[in-house]
Amino acid sequence: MTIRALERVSVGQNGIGSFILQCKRLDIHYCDHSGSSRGMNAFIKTHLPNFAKKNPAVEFAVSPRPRKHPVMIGHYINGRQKAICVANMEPSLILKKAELLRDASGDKVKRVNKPVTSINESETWGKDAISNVQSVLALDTNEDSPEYIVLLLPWWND
Amino acid sequence: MSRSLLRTLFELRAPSTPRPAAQFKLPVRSLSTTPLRRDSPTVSESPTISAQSATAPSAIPTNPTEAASLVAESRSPTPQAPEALYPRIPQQVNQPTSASQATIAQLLPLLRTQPAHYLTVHIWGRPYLVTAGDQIRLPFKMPCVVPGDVLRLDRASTLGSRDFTLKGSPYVDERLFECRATILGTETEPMRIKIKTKRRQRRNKHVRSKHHFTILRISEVKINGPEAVGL
Repeated sequence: MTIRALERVSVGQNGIGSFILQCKRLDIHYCDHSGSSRGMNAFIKTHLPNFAKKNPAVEFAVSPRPRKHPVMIGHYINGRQKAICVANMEPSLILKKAELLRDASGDKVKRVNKPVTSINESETWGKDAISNVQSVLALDTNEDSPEYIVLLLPWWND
Repeated sequence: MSRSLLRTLFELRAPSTPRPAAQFKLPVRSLSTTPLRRDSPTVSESPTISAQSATAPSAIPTNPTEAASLVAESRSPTPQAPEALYPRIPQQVNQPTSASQATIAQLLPLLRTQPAHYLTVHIWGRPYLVTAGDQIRLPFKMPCVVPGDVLRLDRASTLGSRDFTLKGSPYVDERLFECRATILGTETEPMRIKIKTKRRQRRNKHVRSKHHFTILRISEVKINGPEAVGL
């Protein structure tokens, strides 16, 4: 008796049914003495409590890192990290950087030219309808299936 | 088994695809994706729209944290109508001819019964051909939204299944479909460096740019019957 694997019925996609924020943890490092941390220290006092309250899905870890520039590191569900050095920045700018880390997906930054990404089958949809239809017909030349032509006719005519 | 027989088997599937149970559905007309273009006054064709635009700035939350309240509300056990992220612009519907009404009444039920649907939604003037589950990378960063927000997309120029297509002129009546999208986050691109040269100059100018893009996921696509427009 052979072992048969269960066929995968569906693929989980974030945002369908439920939404999970990709950023799970934000490490915030500061230094008490050096001047480059002045903005960061002000950010921790003024903006951070509110920002952390607004984002309950993210774990915030604040820890000192003496004699070094202040850094924010975002940890993501996919296992990657994203670090931003916020030396000599204003608190409001640091808040923007924190929002950037929260909104990011954690994936490697890459150039994408197509606006829509889909995993659904789209055999005969969209602008390439006619070219797709030709390919389907070419595939089916061996089989005797003229229904294809009948089915797809409304599309050519519209 | 021949390919055509397989096709017909697929067609026999139940028309309503199993949908994950959403905890909360936004009201049918709460959110609009069509923003106001305050810089171009020619957009507002009718006095109703311009009256809408006069009240518009109060409806836009000034900071993204206000938009987050929408998410918090949507997760509360007693859902209430959340405040719209963007002001709604009423759709200008051309009175359909009796012939097109008859066609819609006859063919739209057939379109509904074919299982998978696509539609061409327009977001800020640009068309995107999507199906349920697709991801859209908008060519801009949408202001005032946070990840997890749900938008109701109410402008579409095409609704269709494999064999039937309903075209709008220019848009399909918004009562005929429901399409929702979830904000997934913001992505960037690698830094672009454009080198500008000038003749007989020893220096080259390096112009850097890096843009931000909002990512959406189409979470729901539903097509209503001709009853929705009273046919």
